[in-house]
Amino acid sequence: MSVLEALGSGWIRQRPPALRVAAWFLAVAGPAALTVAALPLHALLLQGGFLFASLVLVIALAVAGGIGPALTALVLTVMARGFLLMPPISSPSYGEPLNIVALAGFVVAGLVITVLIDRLAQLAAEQAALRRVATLVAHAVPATELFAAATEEAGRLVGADYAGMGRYAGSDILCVAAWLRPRGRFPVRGRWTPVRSLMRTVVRAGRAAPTPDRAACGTLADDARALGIRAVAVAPVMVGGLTWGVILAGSTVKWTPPPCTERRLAAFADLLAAAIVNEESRAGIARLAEEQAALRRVATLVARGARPEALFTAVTKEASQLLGVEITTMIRYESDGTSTIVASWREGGKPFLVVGDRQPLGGNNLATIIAETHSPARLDHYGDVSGARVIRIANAGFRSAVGAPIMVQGRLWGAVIAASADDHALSPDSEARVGSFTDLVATAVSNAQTLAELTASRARVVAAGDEARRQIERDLHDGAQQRLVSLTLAARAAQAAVPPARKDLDRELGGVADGLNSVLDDLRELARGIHPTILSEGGLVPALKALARRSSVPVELELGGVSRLPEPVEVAAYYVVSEMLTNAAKHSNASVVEVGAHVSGHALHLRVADDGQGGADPALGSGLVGLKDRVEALGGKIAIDSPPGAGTRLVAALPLAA
Amino acid sequence: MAFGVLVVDDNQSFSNAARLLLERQGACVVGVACTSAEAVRRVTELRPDVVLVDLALGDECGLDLARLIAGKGCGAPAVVLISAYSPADVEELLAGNPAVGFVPKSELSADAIRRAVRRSGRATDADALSAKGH
Repeated sequence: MSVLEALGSGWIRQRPPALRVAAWFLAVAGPAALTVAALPLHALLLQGGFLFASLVLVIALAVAGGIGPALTALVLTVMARGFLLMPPISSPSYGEPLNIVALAGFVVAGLVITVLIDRLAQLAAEQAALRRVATLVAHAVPATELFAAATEEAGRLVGADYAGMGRYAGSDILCVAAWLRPRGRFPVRGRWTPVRSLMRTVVRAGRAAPTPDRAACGTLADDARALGIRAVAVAPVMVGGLTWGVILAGSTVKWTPPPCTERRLAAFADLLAAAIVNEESRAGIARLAEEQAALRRVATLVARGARPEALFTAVTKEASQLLGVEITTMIRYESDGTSTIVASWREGGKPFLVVGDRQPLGGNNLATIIAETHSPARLDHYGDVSGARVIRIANAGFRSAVGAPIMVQGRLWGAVIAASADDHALSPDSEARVGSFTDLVATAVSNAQTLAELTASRARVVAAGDEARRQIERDLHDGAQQRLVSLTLAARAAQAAVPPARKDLDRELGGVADGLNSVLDDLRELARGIHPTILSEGGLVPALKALARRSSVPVELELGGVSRLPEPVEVAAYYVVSEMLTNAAKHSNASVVEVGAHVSGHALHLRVADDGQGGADPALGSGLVGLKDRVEALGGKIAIDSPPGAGTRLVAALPLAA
Repeated sequence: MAFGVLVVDDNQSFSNAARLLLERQGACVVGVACTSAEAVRRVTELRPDVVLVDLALGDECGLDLARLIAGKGCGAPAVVLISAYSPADVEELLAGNPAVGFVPKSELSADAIRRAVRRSGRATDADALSAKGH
């Protein structure tokens, strides 16, 4: 810091006290010394020399002490020249007439130079202070440090005892930086309620204003009085055309701030506005990046077809972290006017709301509001909420919340609600951010629903086919087969009634009965291919045993504790094994087929493996494709591996959930 | 002692044909029943030696009726299961059932019944049957 800046940094009281005292002393002692020194000197030196020396003194005093000492010295010099350095006090050789012009020139020069130096010093100080703050802005120092530095510089520059900076938050001012002359910067806390008249002026007019210290109220004024501050100058910090906050300087003495004070404070305010804009842009970009990352993580889960529980939990967690709230919950609206919690995440992972909790809608709470409006909503304070679940949440210390609906294919499916432990804690864009998550959830739910509908439709088609076959088999059995049986018995009954002598009749009737029996066998064979009775009557285990028994290739059965299962699963499993055994017998030249079935994890697991020649390709024959369709129609998984020369292996899992 | 047979089947025409055949072959059909409840009553009333039970009794299960009848302790008649299905189709269902044997309906005859009972080792019934049989 140059000497000029150091000395010129402020108004009245900025210079170090020692320097000020020295300057005043010199203002009096200087001219006196010069006068005394000039007395015995020769006249030739008097006019020019004395005045020149005095001018130098005045300039030095202007730099060191400001206008006061300089002007004092000027006046004293004029008086000394006019009254003391004249006969009869001084020697007769000084009796030349007073050179008025020279004196006048001295006075004018002194005045002009003094004022110029003073102004220059102030300007330099101001520019230096602004430059220091601008450097901090350019280096993007954190906001707290920037505000503290700017507050201090502003306070010093305008010569105040106290400087502070506050930000508007709601109807209060949040103090962000403060500086006291004796103590330096001090840590800030607290909110002020503004001095009504002052702040209203500032907010309305958006311009700086001095304030009277009377009739001031509000905690700002209370703090001010506590510090002994009697007068304050204020400048608004305008960001984007709106009043963001204020910067103020106060004094403990009755001091009318000069007009330039507000202008200087405003200059700082402008710099700070630029910094705030930068900071907010950076923060905005950072928030955006964070939001995009969170959404991308969720979208990846959606694209991978993650299970709903996992997806919903992930959404609640990401939303919580992004919004900076402690708890986020996802609910699903049921058709009976209740809502069920499908996922909930709490900071620290402490469980609080139970998944599956079901409450009726109603009362003043976000679940109900969203259900009624189908739009995002917020509750900024839980003062008058009602409803069993929200009361529990409020009792746990939460005070405000934001929520957005999940609309699946145009219909309300559920909602995501984020709650915070502070009121007014959620920024205005919170609803939009929750909304971006709910859009993803809606996509996932829609996908899942579509998939489920498709699967159900396939399953219905398969089941309809199986039912039709069962019916045909049943009809064959109850109708044609029974009649054939009865006819056979009737023929044998007739045969039994033939007299022993009529062996020809006996033979004829026997032939009829045999013929009928053989037709019955053919029908049975046909029926067996349509639907295996033993599957419906006895279940999968006896049916697989029957398949194994009838198979021309030896079968090793391993049935691990399988009992009766849902019919579609049993049918599918039967046909899978049946088809594989048929293929093994017809194509594979296998010596043995292993068939295994066991239940685990809510699914029936099947394994069929033969040691034949392999080379089975689903693309070549419809049999294996049909198996794939059957299994997948039930939502199961199937895999067939048949490298040529290495046998054929099939693994399938059929879900047992209803 | 009559070789008494009770036929339990929900198909009337079969029951009639069976009765005609068995009587011509020397067995005595003491009665016919269409449902489980009716069958249990008839067993108590008529005390047959053998009960022929169709596997598929309408909506009911012949296997269950067989267990019910056989569970009546000693003196209970022998139960032979019959069906329009061939043995190969239903073999696994018969495992563990107290019925003494299975005869496909198309091969029904008094001899077949006798053989089934004899194979099961219920000697007194077999003697009774052979005493009366051809």
